[in-house]
Amino acid sequence: MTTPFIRCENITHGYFRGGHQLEVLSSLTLSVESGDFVALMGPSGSGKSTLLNLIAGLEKPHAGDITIGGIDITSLDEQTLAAWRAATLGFVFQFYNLIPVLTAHDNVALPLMLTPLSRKERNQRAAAALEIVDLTDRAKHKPTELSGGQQQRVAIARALVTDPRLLVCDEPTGDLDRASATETLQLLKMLNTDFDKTIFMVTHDPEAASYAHTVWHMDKGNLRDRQKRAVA
Amino acid sequence: MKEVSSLLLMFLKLFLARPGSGVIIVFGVAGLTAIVTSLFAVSTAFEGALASTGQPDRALLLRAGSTSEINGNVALNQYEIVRDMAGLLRLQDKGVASRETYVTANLRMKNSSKEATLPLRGVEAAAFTVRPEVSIVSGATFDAGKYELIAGVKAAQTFAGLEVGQTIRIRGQEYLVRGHFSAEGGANETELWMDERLLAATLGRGETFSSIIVRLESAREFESFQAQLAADRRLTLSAYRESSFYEDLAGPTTSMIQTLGLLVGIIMSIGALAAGVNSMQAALESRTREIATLRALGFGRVPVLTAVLAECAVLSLIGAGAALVGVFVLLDGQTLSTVAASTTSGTQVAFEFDITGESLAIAGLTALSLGVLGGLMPGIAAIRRPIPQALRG
Ligand SMILES: Nc1ncnc2c1ncn2[C@@H]1O[C@H](COP(=O)(O)OP(=O)(O)OP(=O)(O)O)[C@@H](O)[C@H]1O
Ligand SMILES: [Mg+2]
Repeated sequence: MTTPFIRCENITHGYFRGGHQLEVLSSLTLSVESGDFVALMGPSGSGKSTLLNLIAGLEKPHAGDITIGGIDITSLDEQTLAAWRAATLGFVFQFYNLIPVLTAHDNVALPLMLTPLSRKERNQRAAAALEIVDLTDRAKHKPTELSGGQQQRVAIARALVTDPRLLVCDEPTGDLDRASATETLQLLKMLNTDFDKTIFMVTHDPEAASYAHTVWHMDKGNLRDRQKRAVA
Repeated sequence: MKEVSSLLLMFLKLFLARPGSGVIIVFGVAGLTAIVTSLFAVSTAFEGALASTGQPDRALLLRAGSTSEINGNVALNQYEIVRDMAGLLRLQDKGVASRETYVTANLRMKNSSKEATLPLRGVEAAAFTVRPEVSIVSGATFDAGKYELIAGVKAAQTFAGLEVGQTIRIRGQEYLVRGHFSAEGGANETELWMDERLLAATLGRGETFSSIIVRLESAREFESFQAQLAADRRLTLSAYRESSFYEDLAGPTTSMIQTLGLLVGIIMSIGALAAGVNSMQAALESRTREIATLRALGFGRVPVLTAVLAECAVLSLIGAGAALVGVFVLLDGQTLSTVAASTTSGTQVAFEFDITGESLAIAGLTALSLGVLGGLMPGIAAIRRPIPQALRG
């Protein structure tokens, strides 16, 4: 058996609220194989985003270890963790989180500022990423001049421009109409199959989950059951 | 560097897109800079005028009990006695002493229709020997016995009708302006000079004059000279060291300006700092989401904070620049004098606002430190917010 790409071991996490500790995840263990497309489903408040944020290194668990690509990210300091995110992860958020004052092209090129690439190389890469999401003709547009679906595609281009191994997506279709959602999901699926990206996606949408190979159901901080689909 | 500069550019764009209350930092800094620069210009100009007017080796002799040249009324015989006293610098066996008559004149100012007061000083040739810093810079000196005068360069700058060759009416008499003189920035530059005996006669004071200025062998002679003067029963004069006379005259004003300036400066700084902090707080809160996004993407806390502070510095410098332009346009080269402030004493110290490199540097530094300080706390708060919640805005 190969070592999994993502390994969460006995992670416990919670929030301090109303004067007492609210435990969201307790002793959760989870593995994700490299190249998998995982959908995490479950009722609101069950802890899906919490788990995603821990895997993405945006928060540290109160207990337990998270190892991704052989690196124990819970042991990294703030600065190293930021550099690790820049190198390993691409983010796709429900509300796109594009920088409103930057053009689509500049939004996509943004993560490349953290690389040693020259300006020319950065521009070439950003253009290539925009081409993958089929938005070359919108490169000079600001986010407000784009539809929700187009903004999400720009966000996907931004997520893949650094060629990370892992994409984390929190409700990527949560704010989109059906057609745009389908487009987005097809794009994610293509990135998984053609570009070999491992994808960890939180969603409410069974339709979205149907694009994944592995679907986990979460309830009150526990992973209830897992469905493994045959790769289509 | 690249990441900081791209962040700075982005932050400035974000600022422009949502200036909101963020512009207060610009105004706060502008106000503070304007005040600091003006106060600084006033006090340096003041000090400059003082330093260049009063010489420690010169003594001003006034009628006993008088504190100002304008109250004059010294009998003619006193002059001859003083000239022979020990301790005076001697040239060709004569003590260097200048007998002077001092009155005020009202003239129209150049850039307004208002009249202002300036001193009209009657002098003899000795006035130039006593004050080696005085020299004619254009035209020539007046002729004794004629209704002619020379104008100090600052007087000529400030008042209308004092060009060389013009005639001007003062106290009902026409005078020909023969020349301009400078005094190395000293207070004499705001005066008009003419023949002493002619002025005394015109005023109907033929038997008296106002003051004597003497040059001592050295600054150390002053005390013994003063003692000699007091001991001589024939004399009814008090002596002031010229440098302390001008310091005393302008001293209260200077220290008042400085104390007031310091006080206003401190209050303004606190106010501007509070406004700056609030302003940046609001500006940064409006970009909570963008900052969280950047940090999620892997931008570190240090580059983000650095860019925030750099943004504050840029905004502050814009404020400071605007303020300096304003101050410059309003005040640079303006000559002010203490005429209005000290009409009772009748003696003026003129000073000029000069926006110097030094005041520019001080203004720039004040602005920068204020801006950076103002951005520090909100900036630190912004980078310390947990990313997950902030991502949702
Ligand atoms: N920063 C926080 N402070 C306090 N409580 C929090 C915080 N973040 C999450 N929670 C709480 O933790 C629990 C799990 O939240 P989480 O966001 O992981 O749920 P979720 O499964 O993603 O829900 P949804 O489907 O609504 O997004 C919820 O009860 C939530 O209110
Ligand atoms: Mg969630």
